[in-house]
Amino acid sequence: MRRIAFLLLSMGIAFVLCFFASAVWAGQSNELTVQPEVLDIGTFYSGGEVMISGKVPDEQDVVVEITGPSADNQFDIKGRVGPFWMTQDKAELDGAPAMYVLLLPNGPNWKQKAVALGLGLEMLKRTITIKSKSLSQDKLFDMFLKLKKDQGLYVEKESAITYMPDGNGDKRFTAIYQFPRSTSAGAYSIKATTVSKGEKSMAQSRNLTVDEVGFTRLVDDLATNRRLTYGILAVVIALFTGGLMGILFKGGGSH
Amino acid sequence: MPWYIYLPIAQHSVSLPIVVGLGFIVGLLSGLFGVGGGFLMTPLLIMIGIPPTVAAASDSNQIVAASASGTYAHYRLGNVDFKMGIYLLIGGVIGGTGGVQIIRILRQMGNADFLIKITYVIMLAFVGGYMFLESLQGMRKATAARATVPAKRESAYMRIVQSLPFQTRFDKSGIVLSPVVPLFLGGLVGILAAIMGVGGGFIMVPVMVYLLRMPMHVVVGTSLFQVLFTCIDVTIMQAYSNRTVDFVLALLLLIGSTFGAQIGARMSTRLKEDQLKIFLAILVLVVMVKMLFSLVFPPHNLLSLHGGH
Repeated sequence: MRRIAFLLLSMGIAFVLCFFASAVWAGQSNELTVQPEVLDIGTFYSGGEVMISGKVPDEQDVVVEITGPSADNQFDIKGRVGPFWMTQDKAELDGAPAMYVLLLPNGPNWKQKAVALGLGLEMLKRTITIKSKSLSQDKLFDMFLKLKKDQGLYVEKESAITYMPDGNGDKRFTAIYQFPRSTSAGAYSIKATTVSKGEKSMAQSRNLTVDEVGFTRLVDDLATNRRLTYGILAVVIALFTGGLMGILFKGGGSH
Repeated sequence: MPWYIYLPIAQHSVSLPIVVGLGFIVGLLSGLFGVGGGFLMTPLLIMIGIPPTVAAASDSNQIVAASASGTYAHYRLGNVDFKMGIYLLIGGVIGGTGGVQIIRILRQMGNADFLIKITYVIMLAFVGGYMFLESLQGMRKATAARATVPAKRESAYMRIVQSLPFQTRFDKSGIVLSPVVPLFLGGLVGILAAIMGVGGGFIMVPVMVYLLRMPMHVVVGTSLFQVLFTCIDVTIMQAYSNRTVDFVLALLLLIGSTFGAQIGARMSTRLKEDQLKIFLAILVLVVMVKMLFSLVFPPHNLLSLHGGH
């Protein structure tokens, strides 16, 4: 009887210990949160707000990277032919993400600090392979950065992280980023790196899925996988709409 | 304005009022001046950030709807020469299919956008310049001077046309002509329609009047009939070969242009024709100059995504 009681007590203690251990592990893994976890591109998509938050020790800072899926890697390079500017050469860039955002805290020289930490747009050069016959890698990379910055897809933003005291020597950080109108679907990685005394100390990552939904997905799938059906359907819809408008306006339209 | 709509093929979110408004403005001009709006629509879409190949293909889709209602109206009035239309159509389908293949090859080479833009510059310069001069002459009442020039050209041209084989009578138009002529001209218009994303009406109407010598009342209906089928062919081919037809964009443009065309048609009865024509000519020339600048001056960035996207 005493042995059974001892066994039950041991099992109970073990259960309690496991419960607390799992709670502590869960608490650590959930420190970085991304809301929403899925960003939908629907019919009326005009960009979407994503909130990234977590906890860091009071004396540390945090920088957040958002990295998109691999992008289209073929580019045209324009050159002068007679009086006109037209495509003269092609370039291939492998390993370039569709989107790269670096969110930095408030404070002086954070862009330079990010470079020292191996983060930021200039550091992307190390991960991208550039193939071109006519232009140097550095020149092409600069043109690529300019293109992506103009599209609003490559961004370095200072003062983008706010802190709030959270007690016990910790502070809560929050970064809100507005995904642009030209966001493409795919798996995005969100990485928060804590910085202590100018050095990287710890990093946590979460995934964000950007997905085409509803009508947008239906049209894209049809246009990609059933091209002939899509073309015929587009004509039938146009004929129906034109006919309907013709009846409504008793024979409008000109061309 | 917060009303945005995502275009699945253009992969671009656009302001709903701007796109519908663009359709309305082009439709208004179309109704005011009695010309098609396609030659203005594609450059304007390019200006608001739609990739040129998607703009051209989606505009063709929009023209299917506009020309369908127009053809039906003219058919009821007995203004369609089906025999002539079918010859033009055969040429147009062959030309349109060839034009789509030209675009496909040029997209692979990376020069599709250049071809679209340069074709526009040439056509807009021609149409805009012609309209400007014609309306200026109209305002100066110098019609007599114009009448003598085409007479000389027509006689030389007609000698060649009359020497062609298979001379056939086209009853509705009241002319005798070799089918080779409409087949060839239809083919040329078809190529331009595929490249430019227009129905070709603004090229086809002068071709019918000056080169085929058809009576004016039959010209508009027959042109619309030919444009309708050419654009059906171009739309299907663009969707199949190039995946560039965004029918959401086409539908939005259509909604705007239909209303615009109706209001424009009502307004046109109250305004002076030559002044309106000169205004349109200036507008066309401004669009042309804007496109020419983009070809002649160094681009903002020498790098662009392959294939015009």
